[in-house]
Amino acid sequence: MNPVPVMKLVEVINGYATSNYVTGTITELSKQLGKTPALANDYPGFVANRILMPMINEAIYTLHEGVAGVEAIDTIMKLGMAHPMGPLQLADFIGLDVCLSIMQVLYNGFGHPKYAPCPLLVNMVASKKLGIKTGEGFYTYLPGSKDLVVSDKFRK
Amino acid sequence: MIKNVSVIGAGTMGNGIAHVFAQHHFNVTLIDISENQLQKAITNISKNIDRQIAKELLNEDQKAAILQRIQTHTDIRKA
Repeated sequence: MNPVPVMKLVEVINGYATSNYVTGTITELSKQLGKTPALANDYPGFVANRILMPMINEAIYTLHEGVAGVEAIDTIMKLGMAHPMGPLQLADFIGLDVCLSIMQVLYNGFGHPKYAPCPLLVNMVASKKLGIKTGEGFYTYLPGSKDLVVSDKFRK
Repeated sequence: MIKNVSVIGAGTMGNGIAHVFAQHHFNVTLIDISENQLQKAITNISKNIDRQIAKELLNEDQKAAILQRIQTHTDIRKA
């Protein structure tokens, strides 16, 4: 998981034809690096992205449909679910282009409408508002400042 | 015992994986089709080690040793 030196998890992916020997070797190797391995079979999004990305996509839908604002959504998920970061802040951190591309992998891989990327996410990527790396996503990022400022686009 | 590892792709995940393996004394070959991407990866690893040094998790000698354990290649057949 990213950032690699910091995160403790290695999501070990078992392909359809992967032998137990290979899976065992990788599991052992991960432990040697001080990481905790967890096993998943090779299907779109594995486990981490299959669960995380629809949550982020749903947060974007929640914003898009006017259910709540950026700050409210992130505060509710942070304090209510004890997540270290709200889903919209996390999306900015991952990069909205990466989020969109993962949703497309899930949508194409399963063919189920529940994975359809939120049109707001598609629009933001098309407008190059990709999060931290472009200086603006759901929040605005100024060089040298660590304050979380909601982007003008989402302020009432 | 595995001593040598190759990491294919020097993007966000690849540079981190190369870094962590090298830090744990594996010899690493980092492979990417773009030389520019490989340079960026090494610069990134170096910056991330500096962060670990600032937190007193590593020192300058260890930094040199880690970077020395990482070779880069643009051709997977020659790597």
